[in-house]
Formats: sequence, C-alpha cells, structure tokens
Amino acid sequence: MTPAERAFAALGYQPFGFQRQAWQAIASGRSGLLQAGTGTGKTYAIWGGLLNRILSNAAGQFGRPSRASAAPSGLQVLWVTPMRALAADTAQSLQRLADAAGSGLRVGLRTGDTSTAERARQDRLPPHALVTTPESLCLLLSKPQGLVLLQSVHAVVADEWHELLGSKRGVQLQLALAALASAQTDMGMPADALQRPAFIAWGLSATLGNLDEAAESLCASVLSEQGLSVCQIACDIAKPIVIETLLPAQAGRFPWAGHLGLAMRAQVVEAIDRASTSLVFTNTRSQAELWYQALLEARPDWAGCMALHHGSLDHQTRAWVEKAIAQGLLKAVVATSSLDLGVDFAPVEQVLQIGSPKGLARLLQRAGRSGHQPGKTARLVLVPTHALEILESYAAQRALAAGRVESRPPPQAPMDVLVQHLATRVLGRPMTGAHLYQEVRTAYSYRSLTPEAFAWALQFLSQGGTSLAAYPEFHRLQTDAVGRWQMADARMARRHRLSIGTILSDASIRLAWVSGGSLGQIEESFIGRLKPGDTFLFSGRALELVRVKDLTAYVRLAKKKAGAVPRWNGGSMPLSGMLSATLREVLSQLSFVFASGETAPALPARQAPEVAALWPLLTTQAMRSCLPPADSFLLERLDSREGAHVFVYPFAGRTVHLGLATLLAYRLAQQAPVSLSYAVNDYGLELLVPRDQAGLLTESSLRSVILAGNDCLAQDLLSALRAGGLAQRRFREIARVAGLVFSGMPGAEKTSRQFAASSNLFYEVFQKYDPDNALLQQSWREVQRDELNLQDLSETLERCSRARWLWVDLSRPSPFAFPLMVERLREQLSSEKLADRVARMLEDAHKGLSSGLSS
Amino acid sequence: MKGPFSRPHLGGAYCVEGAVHQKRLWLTPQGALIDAVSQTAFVSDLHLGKSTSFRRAGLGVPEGSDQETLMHLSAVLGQYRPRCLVVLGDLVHDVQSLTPRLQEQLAALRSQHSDMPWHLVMGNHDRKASEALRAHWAPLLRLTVFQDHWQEVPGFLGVHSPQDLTDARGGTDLPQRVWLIAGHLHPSVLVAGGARQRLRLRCFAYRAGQWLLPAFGAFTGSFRLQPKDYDAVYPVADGRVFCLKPHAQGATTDQ
Repeated sequence: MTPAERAFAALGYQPFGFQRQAWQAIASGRSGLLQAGTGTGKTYAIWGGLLNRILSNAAGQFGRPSRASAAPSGLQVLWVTPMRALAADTAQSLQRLADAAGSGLRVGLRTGDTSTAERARQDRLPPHALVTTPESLCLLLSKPQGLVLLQSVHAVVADEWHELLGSKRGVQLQLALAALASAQTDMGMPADALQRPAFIAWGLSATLGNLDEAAESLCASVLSEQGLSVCQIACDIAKPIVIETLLPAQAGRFPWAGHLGLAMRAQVVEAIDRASTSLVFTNTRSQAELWYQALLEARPDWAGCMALHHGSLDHQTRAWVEKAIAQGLLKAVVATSSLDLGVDFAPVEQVLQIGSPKGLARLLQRAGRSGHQPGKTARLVLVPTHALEILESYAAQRALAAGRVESRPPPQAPMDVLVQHLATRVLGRPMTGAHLYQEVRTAYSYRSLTPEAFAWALQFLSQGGTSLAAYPEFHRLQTDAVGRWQMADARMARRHRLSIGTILSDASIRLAWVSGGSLGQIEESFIGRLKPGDTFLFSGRALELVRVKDLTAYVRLAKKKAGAVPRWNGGSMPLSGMLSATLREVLSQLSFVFASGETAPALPARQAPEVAALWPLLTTQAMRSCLPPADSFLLERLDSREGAHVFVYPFAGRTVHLGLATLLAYRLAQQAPVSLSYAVNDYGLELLVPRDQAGLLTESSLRSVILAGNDCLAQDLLSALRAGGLAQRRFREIARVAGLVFSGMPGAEKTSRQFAASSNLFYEVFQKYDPDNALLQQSWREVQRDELNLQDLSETLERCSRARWLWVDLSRPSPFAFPLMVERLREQLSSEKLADRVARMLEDAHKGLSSGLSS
Repeated sequence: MKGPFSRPHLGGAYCVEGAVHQKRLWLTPQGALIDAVSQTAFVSDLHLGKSTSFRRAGLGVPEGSDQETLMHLSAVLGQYRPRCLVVLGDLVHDVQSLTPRLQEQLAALRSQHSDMPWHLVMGNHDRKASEALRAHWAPLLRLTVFQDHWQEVPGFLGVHSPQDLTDARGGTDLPQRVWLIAGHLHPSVLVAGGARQRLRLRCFAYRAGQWLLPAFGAFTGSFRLQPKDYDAVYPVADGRVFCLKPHAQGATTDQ
C-alpha cells in the first residue's frame, strides 16, 4: 500500500481512475497537466502522487523499507497558487492528506501575508511542502537564503494553471521554473549526489481550448534535458450543468443599452428566493456594489444573510464571508471574479451571472461553483442587462451544448517580465549573461528569444536603455570582476524586491475608518477624483471621505446618500471569439425568418424563450435596418446633431472591433484631413465625424478602407497606435513590471506617485525623449496582439471584404446602433493640423455660445 | 513703439489689449506673458530637474525635458528680447534637481543674456531647494530672489500662487489698475468639438485682473480648469495661442 492509498483509506475515500493514473505518472517521474473541474479531487490526484514520491525518496535515502513514513529533511514540493487568498485553504487541505498518511510531513505557507517571523522559521526548519504564489516564489529566488531553501525542491505544482497561463504572471512562473530546473544541475553538484529524484512539474487546469499548449508551456523547461514527453491526464467525471436565462417580464420594454441590469431586480430576487444559497456574479466591482444595495433595498429582511465579496475588500472581511458561505449561513453573496477560484462551498445551490458572461471557459468556471453536494447538478442563471445580452445568453448555451471552449495563449517573450526576472535572478546570485540566456530560453514563452533582444534587456538594466545619456541615475545592474551580473547597490536591491509582483496590482491605497480599522484597498485614481466630504459606495456602505494621508484614505459612514460608485478596472473584458462566432451563427439563423417581406413576421413556433423575448427588438432592427445573414455584412449610416455616424457590425467581440475601428479611422483620415471619434462594443463599432466633414463617410469611402484589406494591416495599425491614445495605459503597466516605474516606496513623494498613475504624461515623455525604447515597442506589440487582436482582426477584415454588403441609411437609430451611440468611452484620431482643429473646435464652441447653447 | 512689439502678430503669440487697465500683453506659445510697455517677460513653473528627481525616486523617466524647457526659454528671450525676465516660482523641482549638468546649461543660457536682469519669486518647489538656490545658484546666475511677491514694474504684481495674493497684500482686493500675474496651478482646458472630440490643452487664463500662466516646463502635469469660471482662457496648441471667451456673445476666435 502506498502512502496515498493509506491516506485515502484512512479518510474513507475511494481513489478515482484519474487519481490512480496521476499517481502512476508521478511515480514514473513524468511531468504534465491534469485537466479537471472544481470539486473533482484533482488536488489529491497530484498531492497523493507527490506524497508517495517524497516518502519513497526518503526511504531510498535512508535504506528503510518502502512503507516507512519517515519524512526526509528539506523542502521537497512547491505548490504555486494564483491567489494568496486561496493559499491557506490549500495548505490545510494538503496537510490533511499528509496527516492521514501518517507521514509526519509538514505543509507551510509563504505569501505576501506571511509574517517575517514565520519566514525566518521556515528558513531555519523548512516545511516539506510550501504553498506559495508566483510573486513569493520570485522573491525567494531573489535572496541567497531563498535559493538555499529551494535547492532541495524536486517538484513544482501550478494550481489553477488556466488562471495564470494566459497572463504575464504565468510567464513569471515559467521563468521561475526555468530557474529551478537549471538550479538542479547548477548548484555545483549533480542531482544524484543530493539523492533527489529528477525535477518534475505538474499543472492543474480547468478545461481549455489549448490544453496541449498549457501543458507544454508549463513543463518545457523541466523537460528540456530529460528527454520525456508531457503527460496529459483528464478527469473522467463530468458534472451536469443546467443553464437558464432570466427574461424580462415585458420583452419590448427591456433597455437596448446599459450594463447594470437593475431592471431585472424583481426576477433576480425571485431566483435567489427559490434556492438556499446563491452566488451572484457581476463583471465589475462597481456593479457588485450597486447590486448589493439594490437587493437589500428590495429585501430588507435579507440584511445579515447577504454579503458582498470583491478583491478590494479587506481580506478578513472576505475570509468571514467565505466561512459564512461554507457554513450555509448566507442566502446570497454578490461577488466578482474574486470568488471564481477557491475552496468549494457545498451549500451553494445556484450561480447567477449578471451581465454578459463574456466567455465560455469563464461561464463554466462560475457554473462549477454550485452543486457540490453528491447527486446535485451545477445550476447557472444568466441575467442579461440589456436586450442584446439575451442573444448572448442564448448563444452561450448553444456553444456550451456543442462543447466549445476558448483557448488561453501564453504571452510570447514579454520584455518587461524578462527584465524583472533577470534582476531577480542576479539579485539571488551573480550570473553571467551567457548562463542567463541559456536558462531563460528553456522557458516556453522565450524559446525563440533572440540574442539581440536578450542583450537589450541586460543593457536596459545596466544603462536604462540604448540611449546612454537618457537615464544617468538608472543603472541597476553591473558586472563583477569575473563578468557576472549583479545588482548595483543595496537601494536598487530593496527597490527591486518591493516591485516584484507589481504585475497584478494597480496603484491602490488603503481604505480605513477615521476611528481605526481597515476596510480594504481602493484605486488611488478613484480617490484622487474625490474631495473630502464627497461620498461613495464601498463594501455595501455609503462612506464619506475625510482625508487622504500617508497612502491611506480615511472615511466615516456618510449621512447622505452616496454619489459615486468606485470604478474598478476589469469592466471592459471582451466577448470571446468563440462566443462571438456562435452569436453570428444564431443571428444568421434568425435572419432567415425576416428575410422575406416588409411586414414583421410572427414568432415561429417552438423557439427558445430567449428568442421569444428578443422578438420585439429583432423586429425593430429588421424594420429600421436589417438582420444580417451570415454571408453578409451590415453597415448603417445616420446623421445627427453630433455629426455623421457609420455603424459597422462584424459581431467579433470588442477587441477586434477596437482594432478595426482604429484601422478604419486611420485609413479614412489618410484620405483627407479629418477628425474622427469612434466607439466599440462586442457587436460592432461606430465611426463619427463632425457635420461639416460628413461627406467623408460614404459607402464608397468605407468600401475602399475595408477592401484595402490585409496588405498593410500591421503597418497601418502601428501608425494608428502611435497617433492614438490606446497604448498609454498598457505602456505604464509594462514600465512598472520592468521596474521603470516604482511606486511602492513608502513615503514616496506624492507627485511622483501621481505621475506613476498618470499614463498619458508618462507615455508622452517617452514618445518625446526616448522613442526607440523597446518597452514602447512592446506596448504597441501587446496592444496589437491583446487589445486589438491582430490575428482575429485580420480574419474579420477578410470575412468583411468577402461578404455581401448591406448599406442602410437610417432615419432613426436601430437597436444595434443605439448602444454604440450612447457609449461614452471613445477614442479619437485626427489627421488635421492641430492648430486648424483647435480653431474649428473653438469656432464651434463660440457659435454654440452665441446661439444660446452651452458648449 | 519700436522693437518686436510693433508687429501686429508675433509668431503664434496672442495680443491682449486691456481697455480698462490700459495695458498691452503678449501671450506666447511657449507659455510666457510679456508686458509690451515695460518689456518684461513673465514665466512660471519651469520645474527644471524634475526628471532627475524622478529617476532618483525610482521612476525611470528619460532625460531631455530640461533641454526642451531651456530651448523654449531661449526662444522667448531671443525672439521678444525683453528687458527683464521674471520667473514666478518653481524654477527647479526640488533639491535633487540641482545637478552640475543643469547648472552648466542654465549658466550657458544666462551668459547669452548677460545684460538682462533675472528675477525669481520663490515658489513652493524652490523652497525645497531654498538654501542651495540662495547660497550658490542665485549668485552664479545673478538671480535676484524675491521671497513672496514681485512689484518692480508699476501696474503689475507677480506672485507664485494666486493664493499668495492674500499674503502679499493682506487682503484679496487688488488695487485699481494692477494686474496680478501668477503660476502654480499649471492650468489646462478641455476643448470640445463636433463628433465628440475632446482635446486637453494647456492655457493662460484671465479673470478680474488676475492672470494665470501655464506651466512653462516641458515635463509638467496640468490642472483642468473650468472655462466658465474665467473671463477668458487662452489655450496653446501647435505653436499658436487661441482665445476662448466662455461668456462672450458671438465672439471671434482670433484677433
């Protein structure tokens, strides 16, 4: 009997097939990926295998019979989790199995919340397994004593790898793994001298469209010298999911635009009422705050058994909420993605998703948070916030039924993460450039890193950049006598350690009561817009800002009703390409019903309730404009007081539309001096020019800019990006990760912190004084790839230019056009001379004044 | 009148004739305000050395902004040939800004205009470097330092912050026919136009005898003012100064 089998028997569990499969694979020294949903026992599938490995290793080491449970000394396993809030629960659950095996193994915890005393204790007497985050792992790599702790590690587990895979934090973990794998041959002694088995890595992932790549990207560096292939195991237990859409009582009165969805409050209250415990997911934190208030107003009797959970709340508050859910004390919890991951809550019967689910993988993940009791099904209720989202819900159900799910491609060779990692590496131990290059290239995302790009990163760290004079005070690394790189001084070292892990966070400050006690974190940019005395909603309460001092905003309960709701990032998540494609199919099928005749057709029999609810909107769209079939491409034009609008509907998701709008605006502006603004949503895009330039937006001009096609797509986009404001925010993040912006030093001057947060000024300074900086180029590349989605954009452009054109002159906004018209977030692009543009704008302003209109 | 001010339009500068105050001013696209009668040039908020201070604080900002600021100052002094230069505060960003390199650059510019008096009203940022400025930089650059206000030309009162008026005069009321000139706020204005365009432009602003200067420095943020709180704002774009009169009826956009 292996220790894992012993532990399972002690706990009264029967191992599933996939768990035995994983134990087997680990026993034979394989690395790989286990794909399984939440609540299937995937943690013990891997941890059980690792228990066997640790204990048999110890047995081999000390020559005892294999059933001996003597624990070996030194840290053996790293268990990396994406959120530190999850770490404590994970550690508990690992300890439980280790105890059940009677192994005497200790599981430790090391995250940003771990005390210095506890860290020191771990350094002295290492636990056998350490649950940690990518950031804390990098911090260990940056310290000589951390490297000592890590040298005995022979297995790394990436928990919830699907969460990290597509992000820079995932790349950070790839690099850390490359460092650990190379340290195995690198510590000056061969692996067998340490009596340690070969280094392995395992990932745990939910279902994804690119599982092969997920496995490869995690294990590449580990397998680079082992000559083994990646092992993939899939969980064979499928949990049934039931999905329904909440529909408005009167379909015709449902708003055409909006994102709060409070019109659905009555139905949501009813849905919550019928289950014992519900999780109510929203897409943004501000939406969560508003819904919490709205639900309390509707049902004051729920006060005390309803809670709010989002990432800005104090972690004690969150921990209390999580405990209360687990104990079944709560009727409902309004949450954001902060509750997407984590331990399973048995009492949760259903999950409500307010607003578009945006993607299928996300939808599956959220649905999986319910129905954990044996024999129960996961139950998901979709709550559309405007009419077109009904269509989205319908498309999502169809796509899931067809077994579709998105991919999450890992970022390719991001320079900012590389720069940060190189500094981390040499801070732990001086290393030569050749050695570093060799190591970094074993990481999947950097497998094609050129020597030139690598050299740039080192030069950037040692001289601030290629332009030598530009950064006299920014020489972070230098070489020692034997040509190894090391950190220039202790101040740089301290600063670097403080900036590890800034990949995730935006500039945020602490929120606390005047009377003492912390409430959580809040974006500095939000607080910066408020004056003392202003009120806002946070944590389900109306608060009044008293003062901001020493990176803390002090508040008290407000007497009057709150004005602003904090706007957190994350509201503009795009509809996934896969969901968009299904949406187009659904729309195309519906279009055939309308294809014949001028009069509105009756609703055909046996349609889904979603289609019935959408019928009035579809009818209006068909009457005022048309419903585009799959082989066609709809464009609408409308003249209003604001100017001439053209609406284009590729139905390809907002990232693609943003790219397309940027491109079309740029190409139009190349034809004649003009100033445009544009807006996008998940369904289409709008181009808007002032009235006196309306002649520029004609069918033929649009035809020419769309049919210009793919030839100079990348180049045009790049030019458009340099001109527009899209890359600014992205650049600030890159600069922060690369250590160019450092906002974490306590007591930093206020203006420099504000500067760090003000992306436009920062971007401008670089554009002006160091235009060749590789980080600027990276920001353009990233915007093209992630925000504008070059690949999909090119396909969409191709599809649009092949399709049959339907050009409609509108006299009133169509239901498709309306949400775009009211979209307030806009980008601008101009090819006019700035002075001419200002002159014309001021002239308009004065005309407006003299005709009695406000400007 | 002789000299450059006899021309009706200078580069992109904007000419303001004060009917009540009997004055004539030039607002230059670099951000200087010039009194045509006494030929005094006022500038404010250069924040020299700000990028140095930021780099010291851990923000990797490229160098180059100081050179640009000094180039603009050199252009103002060369083009308009004022008799006197008044810096209304925040010449430097803080004590870390005072590098030998900056000193060299400033001294070079100073030597090209050695006959011209240079006056500095101490701004809040200058005070952070007060000691070094007074003891070392002022003698070297032959700067006359004024602690809180400047009144060398009749009809003008120069301060750093508009709020310093209270301190300088012991009250907020300006004497008749005196124009107050101040910086500190780094004003900018949001100009809106057709097709929902928005442009944020740094600007001069005027209300009730008080002038606000834009930040002269190339590396400075700005504060968005509400045009309706002012009699006139003068946005700067593309090397040209414009005029926006929020309360005017059928006003013209340029002179």
